[in-house]
Amino acid sequence: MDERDTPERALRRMQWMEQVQRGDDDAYRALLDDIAPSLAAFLRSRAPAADLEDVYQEVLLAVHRVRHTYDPRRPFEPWLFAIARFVAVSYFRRQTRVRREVLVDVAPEVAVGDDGPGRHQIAEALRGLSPTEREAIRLLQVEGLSFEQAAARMGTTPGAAKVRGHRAYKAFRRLLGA
Amino acid sequence: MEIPRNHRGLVERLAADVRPVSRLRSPTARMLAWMAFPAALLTGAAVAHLRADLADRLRAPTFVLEVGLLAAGAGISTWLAFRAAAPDRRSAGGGFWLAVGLVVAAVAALLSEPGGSLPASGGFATVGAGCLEKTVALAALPWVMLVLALRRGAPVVPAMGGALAGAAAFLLANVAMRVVCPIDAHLHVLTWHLLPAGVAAVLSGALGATWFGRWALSAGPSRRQRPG
Repeated sequence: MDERDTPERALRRMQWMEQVQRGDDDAYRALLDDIAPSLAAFLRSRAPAADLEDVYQEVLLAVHRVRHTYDPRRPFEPWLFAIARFVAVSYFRRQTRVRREVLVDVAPEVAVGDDGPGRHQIAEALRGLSPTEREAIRLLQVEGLSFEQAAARMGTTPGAAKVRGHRAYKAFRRLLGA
Repeated sequence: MEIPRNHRGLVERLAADVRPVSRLRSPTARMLAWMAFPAALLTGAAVAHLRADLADRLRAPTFVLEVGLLAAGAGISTWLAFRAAAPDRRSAGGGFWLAVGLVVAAVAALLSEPGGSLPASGGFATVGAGCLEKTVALAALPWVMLVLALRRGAPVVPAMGGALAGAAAFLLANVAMRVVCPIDAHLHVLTWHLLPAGVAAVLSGALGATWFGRWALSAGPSRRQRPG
């Protein structure tokens, strides 16, 4: 029998969470394994597939950080999904802000216009970049990926992707004579 | 149902980090615990500087009603602020509008009284600045304590939590000011007592919007968990 949403299962989650608050790691594993499918489904309906793992991680970390705010006399699911919803919204707000900052930093200086560089100059400048720098520009600027997503594609960490991106922009601007 | 690939690694990482935590008490219990300090502070301040005509004023039902409504507004704002700090206790808009309604009713009670005039000595702004200063001084410490208390929770409506904290602290200060300040002129009370509460709610809401939501996205497991 599928025991999804049964009172027994809800009660078990409440008990597990109470044990987690007392420091029981086995109860923590059981609880996190139990909620994984419904939490993933909840996030899948709110996040693009490319961001799912990042948002999922943020939600579990947030649950961990604020586990002391759970009241074991109350149902577990509303608490969990209120956190998941807020974390997902915060995550996408932060992603949008990071992308905007990057665009504000770089976009005006590479804009093609009367006073800006022409297409051939941009193409020349791109050819002057190293393959790694070109990849960073392509992923972060052309495809508009987040640092986390770009890092996954580059096979590196988000921090390294950020550094790589900034170095690439700097080199690009230098080649454009900006 | 497919689960994310990073699930197992995360679970093991978090399970290795799990420690006993001191559980957050219910919003009502936290409100009562918090209320004890500002109530003592404001009572002490009020008793030390009671207005000379307080006995007369307390015989006026509208004055008592006004002060009672302000106190109720402060109490509800505090309770809602503590609820806003618990992820699954976020109140529907009804509680917020009840608090607003109580303040509006307090204003209506104030306006239904004769009002009186400003003192002959000192101008509107000079006298009012003194009241503003006292209101801010009375509200400051309770507000800081309330903000810190809310930060220990996990507000999912950060701006609302901040606004309620500002409103709660300044409405309590307003209650104290009504039994301290001898001026009943409507314009004085509205401008120098109540308006600061509205401004404080807005500013506190802005602070809450940027500060109360930070628990959601940080680098890793909390360093702030306290052993139980």
